[in-house]
Amino acid sequence: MKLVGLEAVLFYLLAVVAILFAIFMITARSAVHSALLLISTLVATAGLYLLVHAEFVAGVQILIYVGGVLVLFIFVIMLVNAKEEDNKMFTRQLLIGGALTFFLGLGIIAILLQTQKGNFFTLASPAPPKIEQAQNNPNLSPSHNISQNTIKIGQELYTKTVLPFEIASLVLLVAIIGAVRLARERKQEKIYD
Amino acid sequence: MLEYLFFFTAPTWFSSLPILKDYIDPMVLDYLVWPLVQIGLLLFVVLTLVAYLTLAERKISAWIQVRIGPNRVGPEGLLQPLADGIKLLLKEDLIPLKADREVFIIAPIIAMVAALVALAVIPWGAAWATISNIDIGLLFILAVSSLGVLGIILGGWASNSKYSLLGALRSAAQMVSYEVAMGLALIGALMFTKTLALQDMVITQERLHIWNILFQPLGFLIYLISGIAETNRAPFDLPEAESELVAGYHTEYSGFRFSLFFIAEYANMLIVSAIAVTVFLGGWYLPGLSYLFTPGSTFFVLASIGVFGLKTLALLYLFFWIRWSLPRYRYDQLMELSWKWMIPAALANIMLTATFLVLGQELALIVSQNNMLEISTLGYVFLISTAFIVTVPLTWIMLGQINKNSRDFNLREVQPLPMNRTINK
Repeated sequence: MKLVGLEAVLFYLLAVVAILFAIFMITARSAVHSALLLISTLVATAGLYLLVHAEFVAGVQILIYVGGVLVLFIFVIMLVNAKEEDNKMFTRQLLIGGALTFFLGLGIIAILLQTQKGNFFTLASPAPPKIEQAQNNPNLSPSHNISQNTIKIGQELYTKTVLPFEIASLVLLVAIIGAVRLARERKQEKIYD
Repeated sequence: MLEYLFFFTAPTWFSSLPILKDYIDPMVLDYLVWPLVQIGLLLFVVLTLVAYLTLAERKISAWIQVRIGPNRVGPEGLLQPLADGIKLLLKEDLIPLKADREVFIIAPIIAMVAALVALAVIPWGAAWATISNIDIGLLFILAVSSLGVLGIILGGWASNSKYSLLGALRSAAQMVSYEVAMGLALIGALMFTKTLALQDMVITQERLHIWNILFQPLGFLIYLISGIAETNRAPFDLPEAESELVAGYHTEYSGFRFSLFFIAEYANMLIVSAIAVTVFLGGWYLPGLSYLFTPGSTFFVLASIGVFGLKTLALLYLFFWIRWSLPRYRYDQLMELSWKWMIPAALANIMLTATFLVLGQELALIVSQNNMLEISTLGYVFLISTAFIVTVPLTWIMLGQINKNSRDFNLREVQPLPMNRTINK
């Protein structure tokens, strides 16, 4: 799929916004500003997901990362009341950090060149999947003809990838129980009862 | 790209308007001009409605408290919102000296934008009355409305005032907690509609000739309570509890920035009730409407918009009613209500609904085909009676047992609290 017209404009806009805000996020002095800029980056990335017709992923990205994780980030930052960093930007980590970033960038460019052989400025994206029966069924409203990604993801999650899905849920459950255990000791439980 | 967002092409009366027909390409008309017209109309209607909701709230509170309410500006006080708006615009725009300037300015904008973006996918009526019917409609609304809390937290933090910060912290904890219950309460209804697209949900309810509330009484109740808490309204208005926190997160805001927060709060209320109407109360579907007008005609669409509006306004009236009837909860009660009652009840609702759906399919009362449900007459009786006779009482009894020893919210008789509530070791 070659990027043309509105999609190309939106892609470059969102990509530039995401990268710029990511840079601002790292250089911001105040932790709350960093969190705010990270939110902007995540929203721009969600827009990129929308461009490749992954609506469900985009929605979940905003719901979980922006609405959940980052709200908690800001919550914690506000609670511990982190002070602004001092203005000394160049410390001795600069050399190591620079070298690491350089090699990481080289790696990313190498991968990009591998995957995008020949046509560098195109975005490899499949057309949105359609289900034939939905097209033949006149009762269904237009949205069913456009994209079936949400249904597909649901089916995949509960059939092919059910084990990783369940393991992830279990890990989260363990984390919740651990957090509760850390926060409330036995003695406290007794007092509450 | 645009075709993908806007399927509902312009109605014929619009595309045959003389100037438009002659000078504009039909494609541009359908996918660019018409959506812009819709958006403009929607913004005008919603913002006017929000302004008049403030008047309605003051009038209704006056009736409930046997007062008269605003009656000086215009006939019966009808121009009061205009006067309020002008007053807020003319007020001094104050930014505290020690505030974080950028965040202070951005915060009300975030709250406002999050509230207005969600309006785009709500099915205001049949056919062309909807702006966009995206595949992830409901998820989109939940995602965007979860952004609204950011505006509140950042506003409270950036003000650099203890009241604002405390209000913001309370509001963040409250909204994150009730968001979970809200999302879970909607899942039961999703099992019947089998889609996230909001317009399709209404169409499914029309096809099954039912409002989802009959299948999902418990889900509706949980959604309504969480919705009130999510919009920070009494009895859950802890973030702006006047007696403790002055005005909560917007203590330091004045003039138009304050009114942005205010508009966002009322727009959020409108969205919560519109979603409740769409998911549980059949949206624009009213039994018998398709006999009065031919489906798809202009009159049918207008009537459907009217039906949707009436249902939404009825729910909004309920919101006002509750606010002026119930006292405010304590903060620990609020949290307990969410985590120990609403979320377990929503989970139980999902489990029981799924069980009865599968049971109905095994008994051949319900047929799930082509991603659509077909329900026989006995199936309706089965689903509705199990929802009211089994799901609601069972959840009630179960949670009552689990929370029997809970200090703040339980179903035991009220015991007087000890005078000194400090914990003795």
